[in-house]
Amino acid sequence: MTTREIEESIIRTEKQGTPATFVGAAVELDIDGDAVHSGIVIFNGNDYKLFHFTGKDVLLVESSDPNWRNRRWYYHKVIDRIDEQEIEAFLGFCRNISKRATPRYAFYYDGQAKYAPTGDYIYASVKGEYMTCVGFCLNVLHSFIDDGQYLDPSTWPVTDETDQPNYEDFLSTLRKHDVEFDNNIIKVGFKRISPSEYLSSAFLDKKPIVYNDVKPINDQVELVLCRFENN
Amino acid sequence: MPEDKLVLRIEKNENKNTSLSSLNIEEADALISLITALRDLCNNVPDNTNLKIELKEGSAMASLRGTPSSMAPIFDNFDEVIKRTSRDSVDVESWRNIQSILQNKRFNIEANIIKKGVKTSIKEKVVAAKTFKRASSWTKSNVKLEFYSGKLNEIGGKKPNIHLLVDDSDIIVECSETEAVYVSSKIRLYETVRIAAWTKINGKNEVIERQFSEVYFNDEDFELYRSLIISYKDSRLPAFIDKMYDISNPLLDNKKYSDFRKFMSLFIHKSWNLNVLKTMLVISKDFSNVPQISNLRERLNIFYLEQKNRLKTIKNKNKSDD
Repeated sequence: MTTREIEESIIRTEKQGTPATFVGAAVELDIDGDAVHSGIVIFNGNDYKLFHFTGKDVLLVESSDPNWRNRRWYYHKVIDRIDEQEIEAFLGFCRNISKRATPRYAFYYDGQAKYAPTGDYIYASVKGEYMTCVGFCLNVLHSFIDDGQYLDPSTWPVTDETDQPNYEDFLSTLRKHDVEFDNNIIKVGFKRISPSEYLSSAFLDKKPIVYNDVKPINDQVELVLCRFENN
Repeated sequence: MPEDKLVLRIEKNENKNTSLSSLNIEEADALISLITALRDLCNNVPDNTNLKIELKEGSAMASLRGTPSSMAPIFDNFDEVIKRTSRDSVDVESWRNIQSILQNKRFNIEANIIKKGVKTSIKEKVVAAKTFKRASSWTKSNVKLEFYSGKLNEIGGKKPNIHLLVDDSDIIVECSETEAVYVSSKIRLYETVRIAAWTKINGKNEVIERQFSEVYFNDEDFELYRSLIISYKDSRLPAFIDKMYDISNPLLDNKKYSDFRKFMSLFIHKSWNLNVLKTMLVISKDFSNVPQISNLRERLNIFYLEQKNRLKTIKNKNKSDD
């Protein structure tokens, strides 16, 4: 995929010229054009919403909502595998999750956990809803999209944020919260998938999405995002 | 699991045995038309990955076969053509072509449906029927889920059905043998029976047919689901979807799978909005291995794919019209 094609597919999250219906992977950029936060945008005709985990709360916000901070810094890529004709079903699913979800912030994504249809969080390894803003989006997508894992985090490398000292910190947090865990299992899930990698995943339709496919796209996506803010 | 089949077999032409290995031109023409019709019927259902067309010696046999769930839409579409309620030009034309070959007196052709290993001939009804035509729009039948509560008057029969006495009128609901056995195992004759049935109404507002959907054993369930379904036409889609979650969340939280199944069975019908079908699929996703749910979910998925396919076709058509 050329950088130009990538650039054309990443769109500023704002009212479209004509009514549009789609679900998109969205990121919030900082002043340097780095993606620092992520969410799911849902365009439904003339209006749009953002569904995201702020690090504290799960919110489904209207475009006009003052709680949506930095709205003009959001960019998105359409997630093609969610059919535009199923937008009401997707929104209903988001509303149900927002009623019940209670995530806590941590660099944890094991690719197994997901939001059950009841809005409850289903986990395989860690008892407790530990995730980043990206993990939240991935969990939601994983639950809505037909069978199979959306993204395989075991293919992701260990980064500065997920190295041994930080992992130890995570374990002590779990202990503090009285969470049961199996050290061997959760080590695999202590991963950070960055907001731009999440945005890049929307360019792939193979599943599960693996790091080696995301990497080359993400390198270009990061360049493209910098350019947006420099303009 | 044995496959279900639609079998068309040219046995004789002008009283001479037909053989696939030595067809004359007339026989070849007939066989080509039959295969073409089977191909088109197959092509006209959303999920035909499990359907196969088979040709076999022993006279000249062409059949369409596949898993029961993948053959179900083929049989359903045939029923609509026979009842003249089908609005689908491909189905009607394909069956009209099969019909004209079956009606040709020079041939001796067998036409059978095989379901769960049981063979039923469809030749007589296809030959006897008036030339198949698409239902015109004013006769377009309208299907609604209706709820009936009344005295159980009669149940079973060769063509299984349930008779309820509702305000002195006899309401007849068609059902399968399994459904008749199930209802009669739970409710005795002359007791109150509460039923949801897909009710087909023609352009003159007359009931053409009622098809069993679900039976309820208490008033609470009956009223809950009745009011839910009534609310569908008055509420906006998002509000209705929220109601679906409100009902299913506690049932699934408490692992009340047989109650959940009752709820789910209301949505096993092609007339539902695509988003309602998808929501039901999402709701039941994690429970596809629960025995009470798995089978139902498979059927739900077929209606979902059918509906999705239909909407895609309409959209593409509108695009090309632009």
